[in-house]
Amino acid sequence: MEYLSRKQKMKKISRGFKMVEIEIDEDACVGCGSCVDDCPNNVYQMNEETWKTTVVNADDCMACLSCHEICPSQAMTHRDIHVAKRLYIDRKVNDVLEKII
Amino acid sequence: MDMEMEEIRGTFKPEIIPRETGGKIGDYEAALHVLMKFVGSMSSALEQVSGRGANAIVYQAGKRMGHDAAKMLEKTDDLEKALNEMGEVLGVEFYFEMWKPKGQEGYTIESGDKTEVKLLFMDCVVRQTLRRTGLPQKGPLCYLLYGYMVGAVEEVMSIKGKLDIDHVGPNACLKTLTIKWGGK
Amino acid sequence: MVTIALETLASCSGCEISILDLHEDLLKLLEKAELVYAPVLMDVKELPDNIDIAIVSGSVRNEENKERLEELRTKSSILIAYGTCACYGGITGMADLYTRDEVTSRTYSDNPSTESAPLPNEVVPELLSIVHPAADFTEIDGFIPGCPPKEQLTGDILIPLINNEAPDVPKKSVCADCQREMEHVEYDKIHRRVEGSPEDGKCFLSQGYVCLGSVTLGRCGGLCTDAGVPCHGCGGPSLDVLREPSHDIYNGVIKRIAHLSNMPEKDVEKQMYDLGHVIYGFVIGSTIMEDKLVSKIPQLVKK
Repeated sequence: MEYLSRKQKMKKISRGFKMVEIEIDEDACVGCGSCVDDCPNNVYQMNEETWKTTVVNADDCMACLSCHEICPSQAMTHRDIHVAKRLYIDRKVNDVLEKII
Repeated sequence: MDMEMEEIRGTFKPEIIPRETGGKIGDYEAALHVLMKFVGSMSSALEQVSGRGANAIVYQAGKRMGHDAAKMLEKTDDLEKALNEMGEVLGVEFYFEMWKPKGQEGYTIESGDKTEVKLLFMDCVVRQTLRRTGLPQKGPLCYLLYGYMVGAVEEVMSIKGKLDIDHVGPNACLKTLTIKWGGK
Repeated sequence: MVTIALETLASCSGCEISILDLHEDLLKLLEKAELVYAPVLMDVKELPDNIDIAIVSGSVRNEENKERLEELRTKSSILIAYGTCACYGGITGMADLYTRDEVTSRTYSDNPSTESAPLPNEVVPELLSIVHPAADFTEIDGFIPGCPPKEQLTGDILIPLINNEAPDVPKKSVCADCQREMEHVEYDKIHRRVEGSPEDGKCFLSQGYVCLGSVTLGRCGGLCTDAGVPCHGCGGPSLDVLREPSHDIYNGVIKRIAHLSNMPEKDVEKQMYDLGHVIYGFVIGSTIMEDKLVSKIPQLVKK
């Protein structure tokens, strides 16, 4: 059953995906600007007054999550994006992660 | 540490081997992770020994695999159709999609005898292998995948192609596929 | 009434105090819940049966801790490891930097400020060979790291729990709570925490101090950085460090410092000091952190 639904997903390849919703937690942002530097598609820019990151180009976001990787305070949330599998993570670790309250 | 290795014993007949050879999900996980470790180690050793040459060797190996994988697919001249067809086969092994920046009209860009299209690779077993041991992306293993992709495209469309990597990330990698019309 | 038990293993009892620190919110807790066992607070000596929520703090250091933990598991429906010691070994895990004999001789026979005495062998339970977090011996249903978890967090978790609701608390790193601003500043020397006087408002990493905030689980309000002290990592590793096999506290801090200061990573590594206490101080007991291929913990512990 799962294989069939994957096949159906494959048919949508040429349609691309819909725009990504990105939310920034301004309290968490420390103003390091690393996401602005790292993003290949210039999705972010530093707000000159508050010196926090703002989203200026969500349309070009391809959900590579390089920004998540570099952000020291996990300040951004990407909604409704493709979840790539991470099978290299131990199930035991995933189990503990789920149980952390 | 919960390393309880219990030995499993069973009876073998040549025609019927025990069900336990199938293993459980934990066995698959352990095997996968060890394999990732081994493949990562081989890839890094190859890189240290042959440097950039490693990428080229591995790329050719990947291309051969790609050609074989795509032999059963319907041949076509339309790039988007080809990618759709390939997605059904290759996409199960690593999910990819076409991508375009907002300002661009269509997915493909024609320029002279070349056509370019940007591809977004999401699920990628190579990325997962590299992230298991912290190896950098864009090494020989990534080239294996490029070869695979290019080989498949070449087989389906009977053209020459190349793949360039634009950006690597934890959830998706962006690559540009360039195909050159005019036969092989 | 939901029954709650607080068990203290090898603990400083700071975690029990943090639950008491709910102050008036304790009344909200006690509206629906009843404390049936808490050695630090009540004179109940033995664990009652049918505990709904058991909260265990402290690590498993000796045989008695292990037995208590196992008994707690059989008598409770939900067992929560509360505090960094119960989750990852915590401060008590640093005992693993020394052999068990070194620990006991320092305490009893070779202590510089007491008269030498033999190791007690009656009544006192025997030490296990290493320090263990609670999860090494039993199935744990929930982890609340923190040293101790701050009362705001505890209230936001326990009160929904006893009302059978899911708690909704953030899970970001200390940087998210910290008010300092992180800047890219070029420098080539790392300072020890006692050197110099850090500026307010500016990230410690940007000033050349080793601060573990970016690789530590937060929800602590950034109290230390607010008071001028770089983060020691008492909340345990941040979720991304726990999750990714190639991410570790050590290489996380090094990468962050190298990224901000433009120093090559090798130079940053050379200047790192006292890994066992500064970098891994709170997670030495954790098998997840120790098992990572990039972890330096196996090189530091003596078994």
